[in-house]
Amino acid sequence: MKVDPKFQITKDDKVTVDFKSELMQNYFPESAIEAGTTIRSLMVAPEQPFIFCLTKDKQLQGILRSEGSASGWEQLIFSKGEVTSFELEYNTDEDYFQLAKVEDNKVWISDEIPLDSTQFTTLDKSISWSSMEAVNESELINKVSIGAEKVVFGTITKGEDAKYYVADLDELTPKPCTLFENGMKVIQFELGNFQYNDGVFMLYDIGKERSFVFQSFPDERYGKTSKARFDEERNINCFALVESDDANDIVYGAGKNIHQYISGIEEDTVDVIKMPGTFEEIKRIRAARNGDNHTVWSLNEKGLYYQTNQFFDQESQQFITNKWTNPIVMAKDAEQFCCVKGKGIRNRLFAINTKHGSELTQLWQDATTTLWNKNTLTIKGIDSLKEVESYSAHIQFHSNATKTFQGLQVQLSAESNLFVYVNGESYHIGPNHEVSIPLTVSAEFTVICPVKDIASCRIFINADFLQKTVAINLAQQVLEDLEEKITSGDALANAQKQNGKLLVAKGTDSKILNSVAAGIQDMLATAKTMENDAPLKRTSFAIGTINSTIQARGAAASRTFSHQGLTLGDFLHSVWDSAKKAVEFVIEKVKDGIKFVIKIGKQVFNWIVKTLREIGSFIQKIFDTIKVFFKDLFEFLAFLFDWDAIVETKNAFKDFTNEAIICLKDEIKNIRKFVDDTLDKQIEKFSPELVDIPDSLDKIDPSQPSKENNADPKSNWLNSKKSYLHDSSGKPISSQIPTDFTSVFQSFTSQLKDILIKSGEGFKLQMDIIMDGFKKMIQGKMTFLDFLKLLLNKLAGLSLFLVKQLMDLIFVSLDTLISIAQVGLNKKWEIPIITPLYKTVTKSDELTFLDVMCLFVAIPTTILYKIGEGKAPFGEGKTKEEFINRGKTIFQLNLN
Amino acid sequence: MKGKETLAGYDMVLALSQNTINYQFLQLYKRNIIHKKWGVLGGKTADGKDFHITEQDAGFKQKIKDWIAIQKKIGKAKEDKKWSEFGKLMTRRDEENLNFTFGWDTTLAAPEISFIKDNTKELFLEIGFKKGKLYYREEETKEITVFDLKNSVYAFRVPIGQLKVNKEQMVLDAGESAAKIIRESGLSDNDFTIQSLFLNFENANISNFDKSKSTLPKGSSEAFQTAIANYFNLTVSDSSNPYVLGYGIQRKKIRASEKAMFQPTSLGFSTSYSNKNKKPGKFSAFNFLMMLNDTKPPKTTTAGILPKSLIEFGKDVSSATDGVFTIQQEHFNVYLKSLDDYVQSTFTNLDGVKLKHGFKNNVMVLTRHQKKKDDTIDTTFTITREPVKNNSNKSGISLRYKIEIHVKVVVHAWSIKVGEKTLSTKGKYKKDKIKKKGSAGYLDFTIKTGKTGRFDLDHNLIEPNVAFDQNPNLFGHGFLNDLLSILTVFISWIILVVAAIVNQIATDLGKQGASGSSALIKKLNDIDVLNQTNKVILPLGKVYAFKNLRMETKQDIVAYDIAYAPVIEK
Repeated sequence: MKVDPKFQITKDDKVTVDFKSELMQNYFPESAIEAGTTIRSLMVAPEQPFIFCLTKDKQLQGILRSEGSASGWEQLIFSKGEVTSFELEYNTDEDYFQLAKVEDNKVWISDEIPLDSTQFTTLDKSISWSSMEAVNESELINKVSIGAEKVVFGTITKGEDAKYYVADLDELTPKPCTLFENGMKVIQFELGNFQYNDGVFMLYDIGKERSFVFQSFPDERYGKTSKARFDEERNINCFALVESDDANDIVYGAGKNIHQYISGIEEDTVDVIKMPGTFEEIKRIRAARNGDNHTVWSLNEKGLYYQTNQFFDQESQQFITNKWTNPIVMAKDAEQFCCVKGKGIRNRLFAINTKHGSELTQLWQDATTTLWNKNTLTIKGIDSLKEVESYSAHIQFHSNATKTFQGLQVQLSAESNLFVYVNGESYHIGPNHEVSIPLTVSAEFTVICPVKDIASCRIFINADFLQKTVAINLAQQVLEDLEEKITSGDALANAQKQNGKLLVAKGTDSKILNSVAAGIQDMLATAKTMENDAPLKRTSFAIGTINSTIQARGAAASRTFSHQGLTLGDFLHSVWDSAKKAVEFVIEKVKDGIKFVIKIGKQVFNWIVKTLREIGSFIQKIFDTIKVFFKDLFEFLAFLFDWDAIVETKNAFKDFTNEAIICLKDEIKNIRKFVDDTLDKQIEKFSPELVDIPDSLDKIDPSQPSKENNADPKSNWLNSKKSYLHDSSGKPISSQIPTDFTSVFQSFTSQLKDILIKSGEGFKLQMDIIMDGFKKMIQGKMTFLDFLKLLLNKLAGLSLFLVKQLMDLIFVSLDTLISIAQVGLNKKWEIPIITPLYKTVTKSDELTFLDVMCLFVAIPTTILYKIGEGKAPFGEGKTKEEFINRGKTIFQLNLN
Repeated sequence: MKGKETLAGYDMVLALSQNTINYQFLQLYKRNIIHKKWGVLGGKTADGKDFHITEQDAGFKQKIKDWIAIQKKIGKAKEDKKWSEFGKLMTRRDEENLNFTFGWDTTLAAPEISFIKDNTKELFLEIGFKKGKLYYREEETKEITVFDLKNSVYAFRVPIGQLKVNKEQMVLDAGESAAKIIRESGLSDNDFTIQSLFLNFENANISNFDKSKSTLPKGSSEAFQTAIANYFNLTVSDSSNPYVLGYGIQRKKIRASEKAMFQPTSLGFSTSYSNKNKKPGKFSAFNFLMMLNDTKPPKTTTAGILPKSLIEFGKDVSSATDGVFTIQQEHFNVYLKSLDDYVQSTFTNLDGVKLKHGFKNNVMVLTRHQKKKDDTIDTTFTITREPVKNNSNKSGISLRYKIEIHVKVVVHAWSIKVGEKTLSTKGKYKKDKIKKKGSAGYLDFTIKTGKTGRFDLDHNLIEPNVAFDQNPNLFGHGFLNDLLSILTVFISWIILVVAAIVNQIATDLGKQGASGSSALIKKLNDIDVLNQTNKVILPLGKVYAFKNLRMETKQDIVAYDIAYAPVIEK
């Protein structure tokens, strides 16, 4: 809705920003994506991956990164039935991609899907497919691969050798082809380009060995093909292709070693690079490229290895390109995976492990801090509930000016790359990735940043109405709490989690605890200087028992790197946990950041860190050394919802309301009389200026919470979820209300229509406000008297006749409502987040309409009450009873 | 020996199709591996020495223009008899180094070869000109004649019969490890690459110009031949120049492969023209003629003239293959002999087994003598290698050894022979532990092509069964009991033998599932007669891939379909 700029807040309106960030539990109506075998992905836009994999039912699904959607990912289904094989081809020259799938023993080829003009979110509907079949019906099509101009598919026939067919994408007429060796079983084939020829890369078993070859498509003039065999000392078990800037693919072949093959330009040779690392047999390999930066992921029994040709030189603190790092294990539980590279999200890996639930997970590296992050990919699931540990921040803007924030925007970015939820929508924010958030009248929003350790970074808020950028350190509260609580080794030893258990296991060496506490305080001091740019003394500390001889030796004397070229993120993700040795730190401030020197055994590393995020990660790692993991720290520091207390409060409200409704029926007559009396008085006071309400205020909700409340993500929790509540599988919320109510409302509105016709359009706006007030009254958010006052205020200026008619209608409806209220209110109601959450908390209870309404009130009430009073509101039975009894008198007109 | 005829006196022949060679040339050309520009200006310096500049020299194009311009002026001055002007121009020409006699400034098309019917010793090499010009100065003081060479073809005969692979030069060219192989064998895989072939063709005498095949601009043939001859006199003498014909190319470096069982020691060339299916390009062959074991190549007049293009024997003649590799059956039998040796060793390594005689006319006999108290058991194993056959359904060759067993049991009582009974694989009578009728055992091998010239050997053993030759129920009761108690030992031994053989072969073939070791297996020595999966049988495995092994019995040869598929390795 457009708002006249003269009614909008500007820079001169002294806007204050009130914010608070909490480490707390949070909930989303999401479910993990389950996937079957094979994953493929491509970047359809910068930082926007599109992942293709099979569902558990073997349907072909696409998982699209979708900024601003509920979970950040959207699921699209691309097949009716089971898909046995699929492949995608991205044409770099013309910037489109194509999908090929095997379904119903046919090969299906999608039309060309241009990256720049496709509405990907509806691709499942807009995609069109053409199909072809093998020559004989008895042939079972089991593999497909697609290239820029051709498509290849393999078939098996019982008791015969494997065959393959090649077809032009233009014609889809498959022509049978033979292998140039007696390959019996094709393991893998992919269309690609080698030495400036289009063709097929194939891996097949020949006798007891495995052969990896390339064969081009026949040329037109001589009917011949180019062939090449890739042969190393050990068998090649798998291969990966990556498109390069010239016509050729970069080929990776893996067995005990990984070799990279690059076709020579204008020369006959193929550049063969043996990459560092010797492995147990590699089973699967994938590679990705962004410009000249390459990444290779390879899987064997030991885990999923990562290596890159961006070699981080510790001396210069810069990347050396085209020097491969040693492989490091990044994941132990991947089975199927694929990878992409980006700019802000430097590396991304999508992986599935069918042994552990088949959840599609994402492991990604932030380019700024180089830290690795892992999360499960989810899609919106109304009936699902995902609990996440998060930093949740509530941000409010205030101004005393009598103008509105409606229609204004704020820009949100961050020091390093993050995936966050803003008002329930998922976004990627980072140093070069900004998100605009529209404000409404209420001028507030919530940022939820799911975390897997206590580290987080600063987020930045910018807006035209702000004098300067506002930086919010998401972890501020946690860092302060730590500083206050971990003052010494003793304090650490005695620290208790919220459930009363000790944070650190009893009997942990006090020397170690002392060093940990000292180390954490040093780190916290470092964090402070980073925020306020204060000077920092060079400090050093050690965790664990340091061998005196190593300690005595200088850093320079003992430099033996076995993990050369690693970034800080690689180190923390892969090396630290496996080091399991004493660690020494030296911290000092240098020109462009803070230098960390870390010594583990004989290895010395140094990195210059620039963000709080990295320091937070170090603090987490220090805790890890005394077996205090994030889970423990979370229980120690986070705000945890006291669901038992909330349910208790809700029950009190529910009983109260039930009482109130019974009494309301008896009071109706009195109320009606009061209204009539009041109306007469109001008419006397009628003044024409009350009729015109400024347009800019038409959406202002008079019953909204007072603006004097401080920002708090805890008490604002329910409010931050409202976007979900209005959306149950796309159905309007009214249809979710028990039908008895609906019919009353329907008859109310249809009769109201007549009155509206008589009273004119301007009246409708006021009616919306009245209806809202009415609902609030029913929900117990507004007293009946306040509602009546609101009602009469809004109706002032209408003709007495109409008002009387309207009031009659209201009272008739109210009478009917009350009769059915007790029945209707206690009917089951399924709404997102709340229903699954409530069922989880209470283990079994069904949620009724009334429960929901009462919960809405109970959640913030209980949280606020606990924050204020330090205990739950209905801790003692007597208070609760008294409260419920008040319901009996709530509607009695006490006009004094 | 029919095989010798089929291969025209040579031990092995690799036949590469004309289309493949041309296709590969086109590949080299397309990828700019062979140099496409042919640009040179040749002339004399002021002091009368030959000199030339090439298109890679800066100002090449300008030089041509200047040369044409000055020759034009010289010609004009001469015609107009302006002698002082003429003299000045001549001096200037020397000073500015513009005294050229000819010039090429052309872009070449991909070179192409074609074979000649009834001529196995020569082929045509055609150099096409995509565009460009030939500049020719007929006389020192005349204008330059310019010939447009667009779409011209210069074809000449390459006498491949005379081509020899020079051992010393090869050793120089090769790397350390390859050199060793060359010294030992005389040839490396490298000699069989397209690049080597191309260099060989280019070494031919270029003046062997063929008028019928060439299409040159009208009136240019004399100029052309002179210029081309001069060109080569200039450039070929310069040993560092890799451009032999206009095309420049480097020899491909191929890492030495292991010495093959059939390692060629000499190499000659011939062609076989074929017009099968009216597709001479597809079926005509360029033959690499090879001898084994330092045998001298045949010198008869028909040596190397194959009666038929070997590609006509191709099983798969699709685009996936590039020709046919053949070896005389006689030589291939060396490999079969090694299989015999292997089978022999698996038996002789068994405890107590003595070789009576090895394979003679495909039959081997072994014996074993055992004694139990006074009783004796004499076992005779007759192993017969059945005729080698092509594998019925799939490619490969099947080899079958029939195992026949004859057992003679002599029962004694107090040193007196009381009876003698025989059991054999032909025996029909069962009794007690002898539960099955007699049947011969079979040891089957299937030879298939493996990777890079290796074989893949599959095996299967059908167990032999022995039974009584006479009806034991007719034997005396007491005697039968004695006999059966002896046989208890015997039967268990036969089971062990079978198990031992199966295990040993499985181990040798590197196959999974070999059962645990038994006492007998431990006694079997390491047999390196036949480490099949790792042994390189065929040469050239780094350049050619082999498939569809079969015997062409009529021709008395063993043949493979081959693909030109160089190995890419670190």
